[in-house]
Amino acid sequence: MTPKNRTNPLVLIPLFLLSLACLIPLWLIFMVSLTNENDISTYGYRFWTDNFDFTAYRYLRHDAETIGRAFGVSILVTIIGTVVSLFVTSAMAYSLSRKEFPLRGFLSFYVFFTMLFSGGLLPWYLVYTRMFHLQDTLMVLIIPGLIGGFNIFIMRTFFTNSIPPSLIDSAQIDGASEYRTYFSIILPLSLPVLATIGLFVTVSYWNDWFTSLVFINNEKLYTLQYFLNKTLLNALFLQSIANKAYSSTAIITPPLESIRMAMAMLAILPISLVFPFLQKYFVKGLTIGAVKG
Amino acid sequence: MATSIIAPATETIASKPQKKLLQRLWKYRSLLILAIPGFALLFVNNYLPMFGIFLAFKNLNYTKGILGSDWVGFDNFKFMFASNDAWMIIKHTILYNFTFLAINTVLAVLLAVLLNEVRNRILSKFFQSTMLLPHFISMVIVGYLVYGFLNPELGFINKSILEPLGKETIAWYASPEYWPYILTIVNTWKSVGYLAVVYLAAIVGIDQEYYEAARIDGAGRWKQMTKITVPLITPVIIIMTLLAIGRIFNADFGLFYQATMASGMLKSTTEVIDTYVYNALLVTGDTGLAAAAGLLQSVVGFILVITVNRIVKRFSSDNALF
Amino acid sequence: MKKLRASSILLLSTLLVIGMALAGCSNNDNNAGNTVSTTPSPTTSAQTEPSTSPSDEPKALEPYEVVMVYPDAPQKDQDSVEDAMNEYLSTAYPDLNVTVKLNPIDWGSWGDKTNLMMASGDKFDLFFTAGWLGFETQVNKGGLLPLDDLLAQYGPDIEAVEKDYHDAARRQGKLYGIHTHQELGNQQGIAFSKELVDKYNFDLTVLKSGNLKDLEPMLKTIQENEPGVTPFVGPAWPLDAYFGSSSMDEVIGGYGIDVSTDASNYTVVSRYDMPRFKELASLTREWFQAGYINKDGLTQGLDIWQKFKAKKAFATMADMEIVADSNIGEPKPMPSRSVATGIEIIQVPMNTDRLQTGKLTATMQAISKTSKDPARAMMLLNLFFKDQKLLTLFNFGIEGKHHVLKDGQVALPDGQTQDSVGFYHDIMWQIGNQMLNYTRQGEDPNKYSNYESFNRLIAQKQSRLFGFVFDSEPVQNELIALDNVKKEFEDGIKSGQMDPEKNLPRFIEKMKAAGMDQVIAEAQKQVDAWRAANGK
Repeated sequence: MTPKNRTNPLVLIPLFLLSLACLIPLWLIFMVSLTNENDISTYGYRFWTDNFDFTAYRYLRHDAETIGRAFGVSILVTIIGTVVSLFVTSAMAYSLSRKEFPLRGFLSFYVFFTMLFSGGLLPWYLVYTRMFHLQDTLMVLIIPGLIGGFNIFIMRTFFTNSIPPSLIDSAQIDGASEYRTYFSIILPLSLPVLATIGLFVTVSYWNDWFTSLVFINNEKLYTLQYFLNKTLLNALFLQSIANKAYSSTAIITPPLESIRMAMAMLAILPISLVFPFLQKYFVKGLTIGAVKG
Repeated sequence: MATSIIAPATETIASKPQKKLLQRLWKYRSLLILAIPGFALLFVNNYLPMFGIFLAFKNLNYTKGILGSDWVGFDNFKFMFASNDAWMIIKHTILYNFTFLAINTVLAVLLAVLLNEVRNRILSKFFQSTMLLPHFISMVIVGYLVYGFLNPELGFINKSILEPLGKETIAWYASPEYWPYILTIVNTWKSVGYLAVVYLAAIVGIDQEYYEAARIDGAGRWKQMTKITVPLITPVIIIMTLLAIGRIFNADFGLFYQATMASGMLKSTTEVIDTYVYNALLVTGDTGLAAAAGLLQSVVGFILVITVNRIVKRFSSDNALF
Repeated sequence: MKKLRASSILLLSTLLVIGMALAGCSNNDNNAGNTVSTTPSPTTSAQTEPSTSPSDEPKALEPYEVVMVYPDAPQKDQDSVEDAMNEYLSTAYPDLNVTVKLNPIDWGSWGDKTNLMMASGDKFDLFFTAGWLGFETQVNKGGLLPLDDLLAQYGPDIEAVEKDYHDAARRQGKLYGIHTHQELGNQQGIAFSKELVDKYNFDLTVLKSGNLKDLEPMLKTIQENEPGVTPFVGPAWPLDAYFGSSSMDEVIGGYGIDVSTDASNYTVVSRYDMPRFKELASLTREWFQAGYINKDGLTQGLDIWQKFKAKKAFATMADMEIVADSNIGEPKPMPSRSVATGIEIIQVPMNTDRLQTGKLTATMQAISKTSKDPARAMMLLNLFFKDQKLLTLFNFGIEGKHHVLKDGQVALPDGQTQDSVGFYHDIMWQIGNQMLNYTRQGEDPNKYSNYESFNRLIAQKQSRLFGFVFDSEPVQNELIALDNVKKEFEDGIKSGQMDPEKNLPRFIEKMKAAGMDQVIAEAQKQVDAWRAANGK
């Protein structure tokens, strides 16, 4: 695209520094997860350890079966969720981006309102369990994450700003229906934003553990994040009540720090390994968008 | 690209009188249909549960049910102002959010512009991937990481920096004065990469012809950045800012609770509405208080967004939220 | 703008309609659950009688499944244990015709989940609760069932051991929780690493004086001679573990009666105003500045025993283990801790609890309002107070598979570990008569007889306020504000990081501004009313 193919070092240096700042903590988590518990309480967190200790990972191996299944649930939910969400979000955002659409104002407000006001946990729970009886199903892990005001507005902004109205008009003068316009003109042109929102949705599905906490009792339907998080949650809860409970009654030792870090690794690693592949797709999307735009 | 030829036509359609609403709806029924799935999902997930807003004004009794529980007027709201520190807490919440918003926006845009300048594909990918990593790390773990640095006995800063330099070590978790900076750094570290991706997508979406035209006119990189890139992504910046303003009363609970390890001694600089409500819930266990606080936060955010949106609309109706 | 206003009105009115409809629907659900349960105990047999065999067996009960909700990590073999419990129940107690459904909920999601279950009217029966897990709110919000009649009718074995201890769980005169039969209190004192005590030949009996100052020379010796060892590790030492129990009979966190006063004194004071609080705070500060105390004491979740394990600790203030003939100032080995940390630990008790109301609400079983047959739930609960087999199944799983008996103690089957065995938890304290349980291998085989004798001791040492329950409703907002101030100062002062000379007065001043005096006045009012009613 550009004739100049070398990057200005002034650009690279800050980016390198930032990348480093993002990588170092990850390395730290990794090292701590491999450190002997006694060393942690003697030396604190360190970037290198003299005695490698795989206890934490061995401990997690006991749950290998559960972790494997949770992994599968997470992947399934994330993939279905992302695909459906992209469709629903972009379709609505597209309608909202068309100035001539009579309900544009009302629907935009309708979406915006949900970003500020919420009924709270209990009514939300009642709707899914009492009205739709979706507790302990995969559906309940997928549906709540399908749509969000933030993503709709970001997409709407892109549609309004990056797609010339003339393009739509000329397509429709040529006899294309709205659906055709949307599918064969708008979507291909919007790959950068689809890629970005797609990434966000993927991450939020992958990281979501609260939906599982609320709706899932069946251990077979735990998502990976919930499975990993609940140990941390347990530890946190026990700390928060530590001085209220009569301590001798509820002696529960918190999980070792190396185990906590090993679990953090488990939570981060898969998505950061998958990410470059996803990103390949995203970057492709980005460049196609750029060329055609 | 002949943008401006047909565009005015759409404007005339939009300003037709109201009474033909049904007619126009019929004309754009396909757009309506495209919006229906999203509409329905929001309805189920967000609007059906909205009756919970009543809970802010009720004393929920499990036996009586939500409808049957007694109305208590504004009783549930009183606890928000029971503390002498109420104003301090509100001030913290708003100041932190404004600081985060300003710093994050400036840095993320800058970062996106820089990333767009990287010519090497692999490097570009590498930067993008690493920048997003902090976003994947849960706040609880972030709390441990911060602790790894600031632990008064074993932390890096005390043990590896201050001690070797012969300086007095600092009891970080008992020294509130440092925390506005620490929390800002942690917040930036965690969210700037994520935001940069949004802006990057906006930049990539810019029509290359603008740049070509600029180059023909002899504009340098700097000029292209300031005169083309930034103005063209302004709509995105505006929307993101508007959305952030709506949440100006809502603090990031994880950040203020986990990263501080919930140390009470830091309260004088780190207490925000969400942590206050959380602690109040620990004292009383009455979820009506949370409903009341949440409603208050929403109403304030709502008023702010409506106001700012009106101002934005005056300047350019395209960029307004609704 | 007009359009916007119109659309928001439309939106809001739609919302209202939906809200009404839905709230109504959830309400109905609740009512459906409640109509059955609000007419509880005596009718149970009558209720169930018509459908089956009316004539021959008037006592025959319909089959009923009791859902037990309690906090615990999920166990892999939960289903098989549940089956074993049900099989046992059907053979040993066929008349009861009862089955159990175990529904453990993880600690981390306990609060959210149980709230949702109660608020949405889910059906469950036996429910673990405690003062520190929202018992107060659950009663106030109408989530629990009054148990007096049920207990009188179906709980003879509960009454046999817990008869005198129900007052703590009464609210407005009605009983809402059944205390687990177990130890009634604790001792607080100092735990030492035996290795270091032996090395320096410390004479621990000096602590008989009850004066913490006598510990100082030892701490000094350790600090001077053992680099890297923290002389006194602790989270928030020593005020909580020690001060609280030894100095005041609490009304509610931080307020109560100074026990050093004359026995007839019932004046409610704040702990922060007490000279003893200041004395201990100053001592802590002194030690902190001398470097005897670790600086990271306030870290959430800091595991002090981990420091012992890593041989980085000399002493700590802690709850003592209940061992035989444990007297103030007398060193005794600390068996369970020694096993857990792998190094020998000695304990020296400095204080013995008095019988406090709070302790008796710390572990309870309640029955949910949504129970369809509360009588049967009570019958099952009663079994946990008399049937060792049932308790063993619940606590240790199936014999041969999850545990084996060796010399009258429970042990893991050969080749199994806690993680691999499929059913391993330590929640004996959650239900039933704990004294009927087996001990685990490695524990003192006399653990429970020690408990019994310790209980006899403690039962004679009643708190002046034993049986009094504070109703915090009238001062709820003040308590929230006070808690807020407390968080800012208390930890700092307790841990020695803040100078009490300077900060204690500031703290008290802020507490007064936040409504401390109103809380004290309210507490005094309630205490006086309680005294008048109970003739104290």
